[in-house]
Amino acid sequence: MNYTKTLIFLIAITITSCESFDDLAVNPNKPTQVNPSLILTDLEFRAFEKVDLNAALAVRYLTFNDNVSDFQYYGWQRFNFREYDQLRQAQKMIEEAERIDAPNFVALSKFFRAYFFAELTFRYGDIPYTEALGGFENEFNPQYDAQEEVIIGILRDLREASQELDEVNGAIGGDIVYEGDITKWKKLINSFRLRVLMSLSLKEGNAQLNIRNEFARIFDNPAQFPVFEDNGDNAQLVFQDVDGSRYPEFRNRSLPTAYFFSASFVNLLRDREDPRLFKIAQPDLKSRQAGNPGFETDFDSYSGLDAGASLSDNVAAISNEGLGSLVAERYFDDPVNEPGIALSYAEVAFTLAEAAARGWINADPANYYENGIKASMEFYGIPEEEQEMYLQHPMVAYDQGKGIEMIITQKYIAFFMNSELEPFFNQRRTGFPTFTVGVATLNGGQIPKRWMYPERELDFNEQNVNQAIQRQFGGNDDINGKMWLLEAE
Amino acid sequence: MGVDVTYYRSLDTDLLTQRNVANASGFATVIENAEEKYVRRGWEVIVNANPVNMGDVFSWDITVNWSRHRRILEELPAGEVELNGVSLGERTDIYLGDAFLRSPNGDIIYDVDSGLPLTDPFRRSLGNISPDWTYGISNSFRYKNFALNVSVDGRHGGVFWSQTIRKMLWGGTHPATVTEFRDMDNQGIASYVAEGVNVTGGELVTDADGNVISDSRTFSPNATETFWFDWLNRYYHGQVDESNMQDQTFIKLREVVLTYQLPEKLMDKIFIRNASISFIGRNLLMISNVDFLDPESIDIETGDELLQTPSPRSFGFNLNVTF
Repeated sequence: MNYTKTLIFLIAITITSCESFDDLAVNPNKPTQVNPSLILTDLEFRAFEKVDLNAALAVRYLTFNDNVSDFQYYGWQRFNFREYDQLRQAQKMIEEAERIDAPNFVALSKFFRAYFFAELTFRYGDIPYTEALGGFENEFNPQYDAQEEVIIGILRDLREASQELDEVNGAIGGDIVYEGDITKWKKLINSFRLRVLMSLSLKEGNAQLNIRNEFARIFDNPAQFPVFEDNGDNAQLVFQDVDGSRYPEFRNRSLPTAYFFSASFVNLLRDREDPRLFKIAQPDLKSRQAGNPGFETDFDSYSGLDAGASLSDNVAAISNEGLGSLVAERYFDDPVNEPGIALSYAEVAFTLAEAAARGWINADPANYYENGIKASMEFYGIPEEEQEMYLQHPMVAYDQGKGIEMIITQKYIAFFMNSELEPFFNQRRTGFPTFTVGVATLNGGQIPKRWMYPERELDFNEQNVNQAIQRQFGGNDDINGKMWLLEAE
Repeated sequence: MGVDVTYYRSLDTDLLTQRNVANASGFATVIENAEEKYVRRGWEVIVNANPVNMGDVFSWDITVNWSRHRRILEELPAGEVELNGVSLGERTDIYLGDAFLRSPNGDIIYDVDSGLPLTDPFRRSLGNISPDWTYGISNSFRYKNFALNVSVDGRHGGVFWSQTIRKMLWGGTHPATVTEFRDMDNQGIASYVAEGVNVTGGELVTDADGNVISDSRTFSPNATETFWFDWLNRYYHGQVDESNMQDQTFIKLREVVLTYQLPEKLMDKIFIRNASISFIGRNLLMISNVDFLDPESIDIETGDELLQTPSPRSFGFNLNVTF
């Protein structure tokens, strides 16, 4: 009798202690749902943090003198697919927005999708797009889409995002960039559309894209498609003296010791007597030691190094001749420094100037060109009189005959320490300004045109990445390969 | 004399594994039940002996142990031959890292303009991290009231990546950086011609794992003069790991203990039953194939030496009294 009771009791506790396996798979201590505004904050921070010293080496703002840098000497090979991590978050933001019926967050997700996919495709060429982010459905081997298809998708997402954003669709919380200002978001989305359309300038003849008309449609309808109008619209991160929110290069001990300006950039500014030089650079050691009165505002006190010369020659120029300006101290000593810009009004103004110069829109290129310069100078706090004086300089005053070159050169100056690889992509598209190569440049003295696909893709998505490499570059995943974007048509 | 020999072989199966997936899927790894199987196998041998035993006057005891351990990728789902760079049937403790670009003859390929070495875009296995075998020998000698214990142990084989030596070669503090080329550098003359080849033409086609499909490249010996400092930087302090791989082999005089047992006659008078005094020295001597660092202090999981503190030498004494 006792035996039977005990047995029944034991069986009973064994059965009741069982829970559904699916319940056990959910960790009750961690959220499985969040408000989309919580995703937005992090997404913004990762998307708009565009201060990048490696990019600064590649585009000849700076040189690095501790090491033979692959970015400076064009020996780079592969890069990563980190943007897909952010795209996963953007995907989640759509899901969470639909759950609580917040269509504005869906629209923002579309913008971020477009934003990150654009970064990826500009860097590599063809990328997984339509089948990307399949992990949610247990699909882990996405096919690569042709770059043209990716770009079409990006432009569609941006168009939709701009149309769907609306104040009646509820407030946007967690927004560290625009504090929920819908108009500013619309401006950003359309300004980004202009950037993408201009990046296709070699594709003017492509009937399907029809970039001229698309560009003009945005420009001609400012009520429907507003774009940036001043520095107050900039997509930028304002840094704070709080752990995790400081200027990215704050306390970077290589900045005061190993990064010196590139001569090509210093000369560009010196030749034009550009007052921005005094805001971004320190006088070289030679001038600081001489200490002549007013040396800090003498253009001759600033110098740079040859980005194509050998490391030893450059180190000798620094230590023996006292050459080479460092970046201004605020870049490494001030935790707040300046906002980190991802897309500035100056860039938009130069893009409009270029479109006008190319005849895409009916406007005066000189007007937008000057607005771009003034916006960049205003960012550095340069007084208006000096701005006007600069605009009169014979090498700065707009000359229609060299319109595109002048516009891109000024755009390049305005990109210093912001917008990551944009100056590189602009140079790749237009050839301006000339990037220094020399005896020590690897890669046969050429400027690379792209990055090789990440090794992880070759390991875990072999067939698809090989197809893409075969299709675009005849099987040779080469940093000098010419992607679709760069084939004029 | 005693001999203890163990052979073990165990199968790691039904593991929970983090499987790597393509990042474009939005994810980096997936947790799942592993289909792959691993075998852990090895030998352990212990030998005790008492070669000399002269009663209370002199005796010598010795213990020697020796072991080797392997973890092998034993089985993969049908059709697959490789997992995370490890081929089926091979050891899992490979050090996967960046290597120099090489010609089919194994010569390092140099950039013809700069005279600097080029990097292979595929990571390669640069050796096994686990040692081939490890061993220890412990001796104890006793002569009248004196006892001496001496232990020695060591590792044989296995590679590691060294940050210390990499930084020394980069910073110019390594003795090997002092050459006539360095003097030429100081005079502003590029004089170093590294041993290797330049590509003079042709094309190399590889598959996704970096295996050669066709190779029509032609080579000539590298003749480009470069600065010694530039070469050191690129060769040792660039992206490549291959040049920083070192040998873990070492033998250490781990411990020496000399003990003196105080005579019992002395003790009887002062109601102490037993007293001894010992002098101890630890980590007294090391012989290894690598200078300036202690190969024992590396991270044996990753095979990286990241400026870890070497094991310290210490001296001390023990006084042992029993009432």
